[in-house]
Amino acid sequence: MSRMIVADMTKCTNCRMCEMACSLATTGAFAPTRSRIRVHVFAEHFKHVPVTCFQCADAPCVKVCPAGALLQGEGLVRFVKEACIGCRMCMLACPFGVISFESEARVIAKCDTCSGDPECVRFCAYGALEFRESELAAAPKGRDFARRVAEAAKG
Amino acid sequence: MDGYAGRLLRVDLSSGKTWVESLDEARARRYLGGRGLGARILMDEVPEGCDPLGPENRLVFAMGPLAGTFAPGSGRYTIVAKSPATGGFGEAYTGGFVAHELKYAGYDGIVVQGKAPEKVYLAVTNDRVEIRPASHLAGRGTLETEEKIKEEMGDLETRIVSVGLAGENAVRFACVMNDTDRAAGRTGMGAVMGAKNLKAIAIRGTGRVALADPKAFREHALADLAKIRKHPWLGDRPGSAGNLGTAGGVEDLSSLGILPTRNWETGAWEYADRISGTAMKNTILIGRRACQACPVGCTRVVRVADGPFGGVRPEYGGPEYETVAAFGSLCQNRNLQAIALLNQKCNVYGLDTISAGSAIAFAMECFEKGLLTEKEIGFRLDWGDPAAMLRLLDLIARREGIGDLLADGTGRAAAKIGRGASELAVEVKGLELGMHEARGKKGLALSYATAPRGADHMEGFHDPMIAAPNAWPEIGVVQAMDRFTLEGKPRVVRLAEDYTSFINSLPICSFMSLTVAGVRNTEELSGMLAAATGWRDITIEEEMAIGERAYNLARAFTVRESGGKADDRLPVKLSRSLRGGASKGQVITDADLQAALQEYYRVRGWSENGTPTEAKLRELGLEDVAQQLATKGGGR
Amino acid sequence: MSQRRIVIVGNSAASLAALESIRRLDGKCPVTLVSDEPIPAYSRVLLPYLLSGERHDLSLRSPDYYHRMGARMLLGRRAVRIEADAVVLDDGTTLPLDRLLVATGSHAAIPDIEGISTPGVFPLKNMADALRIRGHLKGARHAVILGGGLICLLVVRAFLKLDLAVSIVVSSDRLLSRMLDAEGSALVQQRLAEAGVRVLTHADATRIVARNGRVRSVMTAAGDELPADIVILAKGIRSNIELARAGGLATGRGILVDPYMRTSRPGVFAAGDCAEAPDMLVRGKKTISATWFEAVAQGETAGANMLDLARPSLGSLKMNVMETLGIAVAAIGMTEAPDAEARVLVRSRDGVYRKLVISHDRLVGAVLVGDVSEAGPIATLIRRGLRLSELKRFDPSRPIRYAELAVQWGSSVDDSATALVRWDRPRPDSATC
Repeated sequence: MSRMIVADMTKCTNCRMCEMACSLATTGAFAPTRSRIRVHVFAEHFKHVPVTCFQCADAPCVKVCPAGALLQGEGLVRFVKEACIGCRMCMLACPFGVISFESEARVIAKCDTCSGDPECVRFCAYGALEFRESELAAAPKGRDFARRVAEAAKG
Repeated sequence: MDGYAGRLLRVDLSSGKTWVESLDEARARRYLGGRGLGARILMDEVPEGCDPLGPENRLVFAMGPLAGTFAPGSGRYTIVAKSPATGGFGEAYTGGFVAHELKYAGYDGIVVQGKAPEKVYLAVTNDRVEIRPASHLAGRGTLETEEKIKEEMGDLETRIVSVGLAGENAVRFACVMNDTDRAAGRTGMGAVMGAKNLKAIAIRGTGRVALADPKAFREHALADLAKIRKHPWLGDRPGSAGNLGTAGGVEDLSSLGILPTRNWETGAWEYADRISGTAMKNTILIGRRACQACPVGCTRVVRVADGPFGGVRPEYGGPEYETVAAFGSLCQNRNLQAIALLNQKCNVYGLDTISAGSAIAFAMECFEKGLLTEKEIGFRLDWGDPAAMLRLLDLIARREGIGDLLADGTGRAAAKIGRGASELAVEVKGLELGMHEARGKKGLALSYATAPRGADHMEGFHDPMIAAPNAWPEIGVVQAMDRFTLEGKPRVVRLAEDYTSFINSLPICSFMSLTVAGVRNTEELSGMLAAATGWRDITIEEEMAIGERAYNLARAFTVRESGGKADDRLPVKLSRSLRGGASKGQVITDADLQAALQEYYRVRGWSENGTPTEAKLRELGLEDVAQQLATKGGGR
Repeated sequence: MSQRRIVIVGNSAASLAALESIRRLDGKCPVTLVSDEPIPAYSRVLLPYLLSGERHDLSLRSPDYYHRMGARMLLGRRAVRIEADAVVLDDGTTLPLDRLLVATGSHAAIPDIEGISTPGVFPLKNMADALRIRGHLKGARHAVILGGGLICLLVVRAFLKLDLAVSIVVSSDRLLSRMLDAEGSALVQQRLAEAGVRVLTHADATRIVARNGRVRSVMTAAGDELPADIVILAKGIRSNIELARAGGLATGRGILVDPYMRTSRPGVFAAGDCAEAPDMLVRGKKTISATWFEAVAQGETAGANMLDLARPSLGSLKMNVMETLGIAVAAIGMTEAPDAEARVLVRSRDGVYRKLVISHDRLVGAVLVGDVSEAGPIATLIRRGLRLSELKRFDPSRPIRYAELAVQWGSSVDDSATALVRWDRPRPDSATC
C-alpha cells in the first residue's frame, strides 16, 4: 500500500513537535531548521500548514535528477545520498519545495517516512498528521510505471 | 555540558557592550534555570535597595535544560527582576517560541543591565548580537513592532520579545510580550524593560540542541505525552483545556462559589455562562493554538469583526481564564466580545490582565462608594460597563488622568485616595490576587500571603486538588483535606511549593506537571532531565531541594528588599465573609492566618519573622545569602 | 496500437524521458534507440565530476535498463537519412518505423579563433571530450575557459578541485548572462574572485598560442595574454540538425516543432536540445531551451504524443539551477522585465539575492542566488499561470512556498496538492507579452 504523510491544516496548532521529532530522528539533535517537515504560518489568516514530501508516484524530482540519486519506488521516492552531487535540480523540479539542502554535507535532504513509521506523525498530539493512502500517492496511472522504473532504474 | 548551551548572553545597555558568560555545570545543577538561576543572579548582582526602574536592576530572561527539546510543555521561560510593583522579587512566566529559539541561537538566557541612552532593540542571530536603534518603534503595539522588526531582520521566522506603551510608560503592572500573544504578565517586568529603554529583543536561532542520551529522552517524552493525552483535562476531551481553553471551568468555579465577582464581594455569578469557555466556543472562537512543544493547545484564537467591540484579530489570541474573570465577573461585565477586545488591548499595550482587571474593578467599587467621582475619572464607571472599561484601560496604558493613579497598582492608588480605599484594594505586597477565591481554597491563601512575588496563585496549589486521598504521593501528600480549613495545610503547601519551584526552575509549563494539573509524570520529567543533561543520578529529593533552594533565594531577596512577616498578610476583604455561592460565609480571620503563618515558617525552617534562617540557608548551600541577610539586620 | 514501431535517435535526457513516457502507456510496442556514441546513456551533467575525479560511473540507468524496458539499443551508429517509413543508419541498416523521434541533441559552438585547433583546446559536450580533457590534465597548472555560461561555471568548480589556476574570458558584461541579471551575477563573480579565479568581461579571445605543439596561452582583443595549459570552450551550443535538414524537416536554428513536439513531417517528432519549440511565456515565439529540465519535459511530451495521446506541452520554460563554489543559483523564465508594464521585485541582502518578474498579473520569471529553496514553488506558479490577483492571500514579497498556495485550496494539504499538481490541466489563456 502506498501511503504518504498528509497534513490537515485545520488541526495544526503550530506546536512544531513534528519539526523537532524529525530533526532528532534524522540528525540526532533538535534542529528544526534541518527538519524535513516544515510548518508554514499565516498568522493573519490563522493557518498553519505542515508540508513535507508527498512521495509522488510520478515524481518530477526523479525524472529530472541527472545523477541517479532519486529513485521512484512504490509509495516512496528513495534518495541515495552517495549518488547526490548537490546540483539541486530536484529542488527546482519539485512543485512543493519540500526538498532541502544540507549545507555541510552538500547533498539534498528529503523525507523518507522514517522507513514507513514517521516520527512526525507519532509526535503530533492533534491528529494533524496522518500516514495514509492519498489520491496523489495512489495515482493509478503512475503505479504500474512506477514499479517498472523502480526495477529498471539504477540501484 | 549536554542539554545546556552553557552560555548566558550579557548585555549592558549603558555601555552598549554585549558579551557571553559561561554557565558551568555545577551552577546549572544547583539552580537549573528559570526562577532558580534568575534568583541567584538577582541576589548576586542587584545592590540592596536599588531602584527597580533604575540601571542597576537586572532583567533576566532565563531558560533551562529542556528548552529547545520536545519535552511536552518545554516552550517556556522566566523573566526575573526586582519588581516595581512589589519592591521585592519579581518574576513572570510565559510560553510561546522564544525559549526554543534562544536555545537554538546558543544561549541559556539573557541578562540585561544598565539603561540605553535612546530606545533600542537587541538583535540576536546565533553568534551575532547587535544593539539597534528603536526610536521609530516607540509607542508601537506588539504586532506592529514585531512586523517591523521581522522586516529589519529580513527573516519572518524571527521570534520577538517586546514591551508596548504600558512598559514604556512604566505602568507598574506592565508585562513583557512575546510571539504576539504570549504575556509574561505579573510583577511589572514590562516596566523594568521599558525603563531600560529596551523596546524589544529579536531572536533567530538556527543551531541545534544536543542531548546526553537522545534515545532515552525520546522514550520518556513519549511516555509523558501518553500520560498527558490520557489526562481528563489535558487530553482531547470535550471539556478539556484544549477544547474549551482555561476559561472552560468558569461555570464550575461559580458553582463552587469561588469565582471572584464584584471585586471579591462574592464567589458566584449568575452570568458566569456568558463569559466561559463554552460561551467563547459558541460565539467568537475560531480555533486554537499551542506553544512550542505543547500537546495541549489551550491558546484560544478569536475574531470579532464588527460591532462596538470589533477589530479583534486572530494574531492576538483570545482571553484565557484569568482574563475572563478579571475583566468579566470581577467587574460584573457580561460582554465576552468586550473582554476579547480588552484582552487584545492588553496584548497591544503590554499589560498584565489580572492586575489591569483588578485595577478597574477597584476603581469601579471606589466609584460606587464615592471614593472616586465622575469628574475625577472623566466619565461614569458603573459596574459592568464595557465601554467605560475600555476607556479606562487606555488611560492606564497612557498614564493619563485617573489612569496615572491606577497605573501604580491598586495598593498605591488606594493609599493615595485614602478614606478607607485600602480596604478595597485586593493585593499582597503590591501584587493583585490571581482570580482564585482563597476563602474557598484556604491553602491557597497561605501561598498568597507568603509567596516571594506577592499574591501568587501559581506558587502552591489549589485545595480542591487534594480533596481526595493520595493526591501526590510522589512528594508526600497523601491525606485528603478540606478546602475550607487551614489546618494541616502549611506542610502540604510547602511541599507543593517546592515541587512547583522546581518546575519553575526548569522551567516547564505548570499545566504539564503534578501540582497544577495532577499529571503523574514526575518520573518522566526526571527521566527527560537526566537524559538531556546526563545527570543520571538525579532523584525527586534533589529536585525538591532545587525547588526549595530557588524558593528560599527568592524569599530571601524579598526579605532583603522589602520585608518579611510584616508583608505576609491578606487583603482585608478576605477577612470578610464571602457574600454568596456555595462558599458563602467563608472567611480567613487574621487569627487564622497568624496561626497558619507560624506553622508555615516553622515547616519552612524560617524564623518567627518569616526570614530563612542561617541553618536553613546553610542546608541549601546558600551561606552567602545568610550573610547578606545577617548584615541587613536579620529581617524585619 | 501495440505494433506501432518507434525509433528514437538519441540516447540522452529527452530520449530516455520519451522511452519511459511510451512505456507508461504501452508496454509492448517495439522501440529502438539509436546512439552515435558507443556507450549506454550517461549524464552529461556529471561530466565535470568525471574531470575532478569525484565520479567515475556516469551512467544514467542500470546496465539491464534497455532490456527491462523492452527497447532495442543500437550503439555507435549514426542515423543519416530519413525516408518515408524508415530511418537509415551509417552502416546501411534500415529501420522501418511508424513514428520517429529525433533527439540528436547539440554540439558545442566552436568559435572562429586563430589557433582553435591547437592540441589542448577542448569543448566539453560528451564523454569523448571529457576523456580527452582528463588525459590532457596531467601536469597542467593554468586553465582558461572561453565563455561564461553554465558549463563554464561547472568546469571552474572541477578545475579548482584539481588545484588549477583558472581564468575566464567572457564576451558579455557578466557571467551567466543568459541566466542572471547584473546584480545576481555580481554575487557569483565575487565568490569566484574570492577563490582566486580571474574573470575578464567584455573580453574576446583572438588567438590561441601554441608552443611545442601544445597550447601555451590565450590572447585577448584587449591585449591580455593568459597562460594556459588547457583551454575549455564553453561558448554555447548548436543544435544537431543535419539529419533533420537532410530529411526536409523545417528548421530554424533548431528543428521546428509544435506543442505536440511534431515536426513539419508527419510521424516525425523532435525533442531536447535539437528542438526549437513554442515558448511558454511568449506567444508566437519558439526557443531552444538547451536545459536538462526542458529535455526531460519535451521527451515526455513527445513520447505521449507519438502514441497519439494528443497531450500538448504547456510550452518551453527555461529553468536552471546550479551551484558553484558553495553559492547556489537558479533562474526561471524571464529574468528581465519584458516591457515597461512589468513589475520587478528585488531583494538583495547578506549575499542572498531574489528577483521576481511579474507581468500582466502573473509571475513570469525569477532569479535566485544564495538561497534557492523557493525555486520549485516559483516554477510551479509560473507554469500554472495563476493570476496573482486571484490568489487572495498571496504576497510576493514573502517567501513563496507551496503553503502559500495550499492556503488557497481545501483544508487538507492533500486536496490542495492535487489541485496544484495537475500537469495536464491546460494553462489559462495567456498573453503575457
